[in-house]
Amino acid sequence: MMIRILASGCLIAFLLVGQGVCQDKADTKAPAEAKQISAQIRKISTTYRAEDQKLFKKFQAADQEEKQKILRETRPALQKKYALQFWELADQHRRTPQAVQALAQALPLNGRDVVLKNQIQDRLVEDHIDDKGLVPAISALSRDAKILKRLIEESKSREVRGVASYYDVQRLKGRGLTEKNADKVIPAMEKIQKEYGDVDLLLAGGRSQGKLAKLIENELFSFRNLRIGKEAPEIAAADLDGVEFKLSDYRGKVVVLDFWGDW
Amino acid sequence: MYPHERSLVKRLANKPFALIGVNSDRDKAKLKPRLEEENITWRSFWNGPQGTSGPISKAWNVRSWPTIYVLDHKGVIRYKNVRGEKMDEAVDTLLVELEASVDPSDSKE
Repeated sequence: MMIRILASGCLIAFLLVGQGVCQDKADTKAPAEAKQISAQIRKISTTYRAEDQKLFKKFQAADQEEKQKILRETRPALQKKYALQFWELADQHRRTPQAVQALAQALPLNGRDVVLKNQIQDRLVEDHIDDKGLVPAISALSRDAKILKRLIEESKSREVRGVASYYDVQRLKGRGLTEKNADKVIPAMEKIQKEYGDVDLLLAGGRSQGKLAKLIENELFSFRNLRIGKEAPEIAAADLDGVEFKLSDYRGKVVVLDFWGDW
Repeated sequence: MYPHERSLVKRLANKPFALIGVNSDRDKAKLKPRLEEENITWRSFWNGPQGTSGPISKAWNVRSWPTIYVLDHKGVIRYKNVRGEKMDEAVDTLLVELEASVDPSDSKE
């Protein structure tokens, strides 16, 4: 049995990643199996993306009625099919880092199936509440205020508590930080900066959006300095000919400041 | 965008008005001929070789392009992301305000 797992793990890893993978990682069962599951996750997600791309092309060429049908039926069905594949894989390997990855990918693909969505959410919380591997999935979980609250109050992982708090503040903020909600939102933001500032906001896929402290600092800077009624922050830089100038050189004139690019 | 900007600059050539760009093209050499082609006469800061991740747009938290700020003669942000006619109206309003403020009793400005 073990040999079969290793063999198929090597094969898939070989096909997807190329050579040299099998020898150095197959020394214990755990990493080899982990690699195999990761490869399966990648395979499901690659296949899904390819099929979705195909469907998108069909959508572009379709008439109005067919477009509606694709949006309402075909695409949700396609997504659900792949959500279930992720789900089954995660279910076979519960409480592994690969399970949380598979569940995180399954969640946004629930194809409007509320039962399936709840099942995935519950599993993520139940099995991974204390696991910092949950972080990239929190964005997908953050639509549910109760789940966020539970992560903040109960998780033993600082990363999970920090990122959940960050999304909780996003909810509190609604459409944005304004004079009306500032009294409530700013103290909550500053609390996160202080307690979880060094935590990375990892997105689905694992890419970091930045440290929470920095993300919040940017938002606070916008609110304090880039709002209507605030004096524009100084810009001192070179123009396109390399000549230095300053925004404040234009005091006394009405200025349209245009962030542009020729693309 | 260019045609509207060109006409705004032309229309207000004799007014206390400036269109200032923050250009986020990575390659300045490629941009140079485009400035002539499109008759882009207004001055732009250059956001540097990192393009849209450059220091100026970063400091201003710009996440979408174009992003527009309209500043009054005191350098106060008065409008954001106004386009087309709305931009013209915003600028005209501020120019009227500026003319009204330039009188002997307001010489501190």
